Amino acid sequence: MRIGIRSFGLSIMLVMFVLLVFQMYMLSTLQRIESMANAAAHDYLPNILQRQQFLLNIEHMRLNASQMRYAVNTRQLQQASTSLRMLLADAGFGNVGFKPVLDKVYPLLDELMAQRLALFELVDEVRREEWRFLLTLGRLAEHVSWDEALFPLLAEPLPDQPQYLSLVTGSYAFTSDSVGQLFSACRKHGENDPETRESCGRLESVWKSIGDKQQEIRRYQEHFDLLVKDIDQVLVGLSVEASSVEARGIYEGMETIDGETRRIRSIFTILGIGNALFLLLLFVALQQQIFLPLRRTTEILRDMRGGQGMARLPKTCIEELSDIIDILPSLNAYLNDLHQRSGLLEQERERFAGLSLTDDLTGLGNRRALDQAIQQDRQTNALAILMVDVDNFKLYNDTLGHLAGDVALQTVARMVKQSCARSSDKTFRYGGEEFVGLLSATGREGAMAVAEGLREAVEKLHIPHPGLESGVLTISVGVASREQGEITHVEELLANADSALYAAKNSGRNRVCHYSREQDTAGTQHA
Amino acid sequence: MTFCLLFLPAFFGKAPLDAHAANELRVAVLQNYPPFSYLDEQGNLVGFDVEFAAALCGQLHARCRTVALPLSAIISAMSSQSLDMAVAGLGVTEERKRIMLFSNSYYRSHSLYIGRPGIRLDEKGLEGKILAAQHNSMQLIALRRIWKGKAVVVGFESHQSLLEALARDRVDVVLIDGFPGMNFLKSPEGAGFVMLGNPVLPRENPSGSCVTVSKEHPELVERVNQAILTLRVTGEYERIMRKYFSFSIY
Repeated sequence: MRIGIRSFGLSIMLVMFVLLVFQMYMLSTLQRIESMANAAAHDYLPNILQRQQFLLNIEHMRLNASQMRYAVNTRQLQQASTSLRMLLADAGFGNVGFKPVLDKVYPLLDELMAQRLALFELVDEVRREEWRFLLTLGRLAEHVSWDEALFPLLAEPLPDQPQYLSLVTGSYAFTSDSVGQLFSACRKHGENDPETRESCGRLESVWKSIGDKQQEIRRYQEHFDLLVKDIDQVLVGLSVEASSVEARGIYEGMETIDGETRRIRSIFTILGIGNALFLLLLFVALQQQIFLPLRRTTEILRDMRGGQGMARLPKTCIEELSDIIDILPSLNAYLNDLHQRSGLLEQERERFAGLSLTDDLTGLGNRRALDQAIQQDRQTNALAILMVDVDNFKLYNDTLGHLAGDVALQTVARMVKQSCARSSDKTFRYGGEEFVGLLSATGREGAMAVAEGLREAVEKLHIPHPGLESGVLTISVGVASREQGEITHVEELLANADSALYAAKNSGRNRVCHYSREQDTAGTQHA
Repeated sequence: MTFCLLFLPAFFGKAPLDAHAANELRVAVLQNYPPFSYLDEQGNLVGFDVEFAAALCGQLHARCRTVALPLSAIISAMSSQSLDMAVAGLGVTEERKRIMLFSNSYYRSHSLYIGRPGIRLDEKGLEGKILAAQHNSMQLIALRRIWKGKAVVVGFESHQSLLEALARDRVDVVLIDGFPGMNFLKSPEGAGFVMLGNPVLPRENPSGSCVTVSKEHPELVERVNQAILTLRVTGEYERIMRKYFSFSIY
């Protein structure tokens, strides 16, 4: 299977995108958790605190309600009622949901208040009746010389007997039994005493009235109990509702957070494993399909440059890389072919260069041309040889550079050519900075004149030469000549001219010397 | 670097306040306003507001100098920036918002009409009667709004003078904040008086009673709100509250 590098990159990006989507999802879940935590801190927590206070107030209201039930005077009743009403009003504050429930309490409260006030009046009446009963009883007792030991009016009440509240004296009370005994004794006494009879009748009617009123009070109290119970029920219901609202909110929030956390944990695990796998696969793929083939290809290319044989070709699925690798064998063959061709071409060039008679730099004849000219010499005609050398040229070259040196050589060569200007004259570049001029049919005098003219001409060019005392570029010339009929071999003449040049150099440069036999080594003859 | 830059504003935002916290905060509570602020038998300034202010200063890490002033004096001192903070149970009104900043509510209450038993709270019952409340209070504004032209409405300089006038029958009905009102009804001076009708709100959607902060320290408001929440969560608020009330006032 082969895929393009673009598809390879795209598939990597696709995997990364999927991982990114997972991450974004996780981020959003984390944000949800964060907002839930925020809600817990900024909504639920203050609300829970408020509910706590609310519950405390509800308990206080229940206490106030029972205080109203058992209040013994209007002041106690008023205070309990004021407190209850204030807390009730306060409970409605900020708890719009509780308002309808709270509103139910007000009529109950109003009724309790009204009945409680009515009861206070009733109790006052009962007290007045009881007072009358006691007065009548006192008078009767005096009248009949009451024997208390015989008729104990106050008795310890039995638990199930109704008590007559205001006539309680310590733990003793008038009970219906003891009063019943009193009435029967009284009736017996009154059979023969009208005054006693009248007192007894009054006593009985007051007692009956007290009994009725006590009944009424009990009915009131039963009704109070019901009212207080109603109020209590409403408040307890409110308390239950209040305590559960936030708890529910928190509980639901916690449930959600729990679920979200579990989900995040699994996503996190998947994401972690996915990331690790992705990186591993990416590394293996890059190593196997790109880096390794690339390194092998580089090695093969290096070998090819060195002209060595080809190693085994690497394998890859990446299309572009694979294409490059596939080209390698034909590239190698082409290179080898090219190598061969360029070898032939080099030989050819060298062959052609060997045939050349012209010096590339100066355009004068080269050494080979000089050799040919020497061979063609007939050895008898007059001939003069000028051997020209640029003074201290090596220094010139070293200080001014090879380019300037080449230019100087070209200039000197041009001057040499101009001096040996006849068609039969020939000029050559003999070595690095040495030139040779062959002047046919020229004797010693003529040759010396030409040489001197050349030397002067070069000096007058005023080419700056930092290495010489004179400061300008100069030449030294060695001259050797053969007169008509004299038999001297050109090679000998050449050697003579060379030694004359040597002499010219030795005697201070910038001069012309002719060869003289006597002073073969140092002989000089100035022109 | 980016990390550092991100934190710079927070750092600079905090710095002036910290510098300020090293100084003293001038805090006012109401004068003679039991059970929120009053002098005990030994002559010490005590009360819910006094202790709450101290707890608040502890949370703000500030030293506080607490003074007790009448309501009018607190409001004028706040407007002249000669106070930093007032723990006086002030409710939010548009007029007050112009001269000071308000925290979240730290307690709330209704107002009570208090008078001799039997007075009916309607036009007929109050005809020719004198209604009174404290100067600069929301109760006075409410009285003027509701009973203007139907009864005489007068203002008193301080809470104490208002209650004295009621006790001496120089006024017939007062409208005062619930908790001091209850306190009055339970006291010997309030023996002959009752709450008239049900508790009322001085206005619709009341803000509750707030800590007020001078406009010089806008950054303090958020810290006060945080401190109130912290005090409530830690139970410190409850501890103070239970000393003065048998029920919750929050």
